[in-house]
Amino acid sequence: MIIYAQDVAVKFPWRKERSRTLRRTLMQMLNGRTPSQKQWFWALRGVSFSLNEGEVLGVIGRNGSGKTTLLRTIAGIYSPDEGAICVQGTVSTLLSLGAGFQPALSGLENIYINGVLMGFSEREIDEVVEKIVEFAELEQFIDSPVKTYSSGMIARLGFAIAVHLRRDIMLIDEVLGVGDVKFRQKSQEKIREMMTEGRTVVLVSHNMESIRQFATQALWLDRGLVRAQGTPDEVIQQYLNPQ
Amino acid sequence: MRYFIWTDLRLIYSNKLLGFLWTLLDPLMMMLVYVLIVVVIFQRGGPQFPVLLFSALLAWRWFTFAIVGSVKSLTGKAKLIQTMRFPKAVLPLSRVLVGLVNYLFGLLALVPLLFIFKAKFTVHMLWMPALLAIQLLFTLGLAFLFAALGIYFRDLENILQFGLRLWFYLSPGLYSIEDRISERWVQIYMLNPFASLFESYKNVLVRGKPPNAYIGIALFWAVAFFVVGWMFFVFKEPQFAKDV
Repeated sequence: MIIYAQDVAVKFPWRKERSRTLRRTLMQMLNGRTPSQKQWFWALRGVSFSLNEGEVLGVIGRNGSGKTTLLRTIAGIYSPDEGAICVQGTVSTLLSLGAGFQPALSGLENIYINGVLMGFSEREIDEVVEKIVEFAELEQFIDSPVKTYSSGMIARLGFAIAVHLRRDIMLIDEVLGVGDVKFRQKSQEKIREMMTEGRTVVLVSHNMESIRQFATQALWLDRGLVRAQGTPDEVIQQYLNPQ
Repeated sequence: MRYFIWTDLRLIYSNKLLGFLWTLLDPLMMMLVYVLIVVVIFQRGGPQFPVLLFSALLAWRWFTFAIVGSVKSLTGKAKLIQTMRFPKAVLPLSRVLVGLVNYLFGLLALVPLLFIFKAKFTVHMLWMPALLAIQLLFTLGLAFLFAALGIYFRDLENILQFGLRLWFYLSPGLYSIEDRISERWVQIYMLNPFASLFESYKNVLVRGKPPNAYIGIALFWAVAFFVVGWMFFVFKEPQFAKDV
């Protein structure tokens, strides 16, 4: 088993005020008011599943149902507040494209910074850097600062980095809509290629077709709870026709 | 790690010569402002006042650059923290080290001043690495602490700006301890780690004397704050992605 989750729950503080400030905290203390009792919002509750090597888990659910939280928990960005999650192997994420870019630096420099942050060595990045640039179709612009890029170019570069610097487990969060039609086709092909390579993948998507096509098992999240779990066809059937 | 420092440096020095000149000019101009106030207007300060001030000011610039930068080092990278798993400590750490590099460049401006104002070049200058190590440790501890606190108190930076200014005037940068601090208060005054640090910088760089006798207190604070700051940071780190 490569990913094993047992009753995973993740909570967030339910915030009423816009942001906490020292001034507000001091005022509350001076007025003898204890900071109001913290309320929690459970983004995930009692989620259990296990995934073997080479399997693809498709996660479906409405907006705000906890899909992204689940991916971030698998990636180790959040730690579960209850339950346990065990991930064997290294994880790479396709969560949000170009999040770590430094606008003032060139595309090439950003490839290296991103790669190093993901835990790759300089030499490993050297090996794929040409492929990344070629895939992102940014040959002419790779030495220009990223702040001069269009949003499509940033997304392309982010996607290219994420798919070329890969780890054992891939987490994909509906980034399939990248750039123009042509690039979208190309990126979908790339994802298809990775899935059929026998890589372990967790895929979050609203596209039932791609879940049906790639997933070996599916999970339906509804307000942080698992509504259904099983083969993709069954789960999609229930999701589309809830009683 | 190397990449982070390199990135920050690239950003600062991106305008090539201009960026480099700025890190030299910045403390120099600060010094000139203080020289104007103290020497010209108040008619105080000895013949070596500018270089004594500069040797303290340079170290202080490093400290404020690192601390003020650390407060926003995590909140400024919120998106990155929420999409990637990496040791968050590199963010404040790189800020402190970039400040150190700036400091070392600043020494280029200090050396001519040492000649102009006839500083004593002695073996005591070899104390510098030890003094820098103490300040590094102290700065790192506070940087970790404030980086973590910066997430929970968004207005921390404003208060910090004020606090740092006050701290500087309470440290012997613009004056020396013998001139301005009475015997009775010296013991309490020296609890400030920058009291002995500033005096030590002045002693070894300009006066040709060994470090200040109270430097042990600065070392104590440095170790204590480093341990506390680091432990607090590590304790809070699992929550950063949620709270940032």
